[in-house]
Amino acid sequence: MSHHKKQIGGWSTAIVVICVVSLIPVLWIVFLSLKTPATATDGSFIPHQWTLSN
Amino acid sequence: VSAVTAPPSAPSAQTTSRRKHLSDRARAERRLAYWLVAPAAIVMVAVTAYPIIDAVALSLQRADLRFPNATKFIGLSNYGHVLTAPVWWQDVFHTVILTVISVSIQLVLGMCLALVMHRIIFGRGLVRAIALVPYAIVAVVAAESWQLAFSLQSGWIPKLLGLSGDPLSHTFGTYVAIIVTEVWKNTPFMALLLLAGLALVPDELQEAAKVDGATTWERFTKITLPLMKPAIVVALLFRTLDAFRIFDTIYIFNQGAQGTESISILNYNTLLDRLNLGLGSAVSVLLFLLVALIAIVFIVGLGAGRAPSTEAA
Repeated sequence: MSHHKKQIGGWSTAIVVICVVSLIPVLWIVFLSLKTPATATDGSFIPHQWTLSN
Repeated sequence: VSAVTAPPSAPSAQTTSRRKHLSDRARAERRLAYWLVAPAAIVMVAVTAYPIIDAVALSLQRADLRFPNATKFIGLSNYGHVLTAPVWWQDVFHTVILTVISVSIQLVLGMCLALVMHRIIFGRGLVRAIALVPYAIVAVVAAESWQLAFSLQSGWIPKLLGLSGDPLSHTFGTYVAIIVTEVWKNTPFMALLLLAGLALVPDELQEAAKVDGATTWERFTKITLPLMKPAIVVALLFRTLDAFRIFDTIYIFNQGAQGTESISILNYNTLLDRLNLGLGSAVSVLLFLLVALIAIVFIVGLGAGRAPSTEAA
């Protein structure tokens, strides 16, 4: 693997790590706001029942 | 630099002689300037000084809202009560532990983030915008979402880590959760301050060291870090002062239960739960003095605010 490709791979990994660490908790907040009151504390990351009523 | 630096006494002597020879018009302009600045200066002094003076005055009185007629001057008794109470020293210990661990992690991660944001060769704007998102989230919302994420009933973290017990039901787990929240929320701010310091490091020095055969680690430790020292100290100062006054995250998580009570939580409980204005104000003043002491240590001891010198490299 060339030096340039290694560099691109390294930076891509850094970008992915920053995006995941920064955005996963924000996504969790957004998903929580889209859960129904009955499923708000079911422990799932992605809502089983979506609602905009909140 | 030393050749163009005048001795300390010279400017003051020059200023004195210049002041003596001010024309009437210059004096009138100066007087007008003082009058124009005065309203803003008076408001600034009043806004900052009044609460401090009021807190100091209250801390010297027996002032309890449950017994409003029993208010009287008692000198330094409130300070004696606070400083001899075991809970004060326990809370100082909890606050120091939380501050040292969270700020240390923020410094390391903030430096990594700043280096990535400084050196990245593509998607720089996108990465900088995404990295700053946590800092834009309201502190209470961030704390509430992490509290729900760490909770065994409602959260995804215990499931992800395969935990059978509730991490928030014991002291260690709660400390970890509070520190994770603080680190996630405040690392971008640390990174921003360090990024400003990184911009001051001349590329020529890095290139020269590279030509001389220095490795990446050697260039980082012997060129980048010494030149960034003022920025690092300022970033540490800002974050340490902020972390030492930690309140909202702990309050949202458990209001100081399970050995996580900080000085600010003790202050809140004394003032607003026990309605004891005298004791609460004494805690406030002691917290203020501790924060001032930290600031003095950073500014005098570690040299925050001193201009970087390329001679260090």
